[in-house]
Amino acid sequence: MHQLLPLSDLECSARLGGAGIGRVVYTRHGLPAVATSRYLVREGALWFAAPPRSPVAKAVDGQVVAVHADRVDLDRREGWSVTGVGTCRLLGGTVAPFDVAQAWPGRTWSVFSVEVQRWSGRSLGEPVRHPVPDVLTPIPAGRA
Amino acid sequence: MTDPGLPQQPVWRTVLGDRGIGRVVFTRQALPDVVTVNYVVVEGRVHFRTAPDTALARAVADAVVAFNVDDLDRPGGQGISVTITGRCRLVAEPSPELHRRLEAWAPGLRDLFFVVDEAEVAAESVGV
Repeated sequence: MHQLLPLSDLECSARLGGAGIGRVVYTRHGLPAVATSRYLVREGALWFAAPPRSPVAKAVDGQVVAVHADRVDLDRREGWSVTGVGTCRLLGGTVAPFDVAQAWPGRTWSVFSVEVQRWSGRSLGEPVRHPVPDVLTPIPAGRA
Repeated sequence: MTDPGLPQQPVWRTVLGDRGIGRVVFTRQALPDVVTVNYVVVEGRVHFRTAPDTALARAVADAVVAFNVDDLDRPGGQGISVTITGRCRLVAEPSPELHRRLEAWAPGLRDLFFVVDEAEVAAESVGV
């Protein structure tokens, strides 16, 4: 039997930022809903992309959402899961600290930021590492 | 040609399989929350288990949840994400099959078994 260990906020942020694809959990018509999404962690905020006019894009502006990723090996029974909860805003007049077209090529996206107010994460059966949080390093001015 | 004696399984059924890793999406104190679980499919329904003292157990009994699984490593780079939305119910008398197939991974007495009704199933393709 493996040990279930909590992850620190820093580790949650680093693991979520390193995963790149996960899911946005939100409320739609009063019911729980989920959409698989691409996202980034940059400058202390979390950003995700959704197709314009998709159910998630229509529901989440101004709402509290959870962004979640996990990596679990079914046969080895080990892995981790991380959730960041915060208020979500549609990217409007402000500019993302990265090139959206470069980050998510191939189509037009609605881009949202999530200011994470609460992290939670667990590791099952694997050594807990303390990664260098390079995903949190701001991009130098001029490249954004 | 498809053998008429073998009904074609919908794609979402093949993504779901008979066991795997999924996520229970639920509402906790009016906010969205999500927990990764291992699951099995018994009699066509998703079952998962947890401990009585978890936020998950407290929030999902007789509540509507969304249960999400995905396969993002499909040939051609096109992934599929499947979400089952329905009421989540406590299984009053878990069968021996359920006990045998749905093992607890983590320590602690995870002796509550839940089943998710399938009120709605949505499958979306995910470009990865």
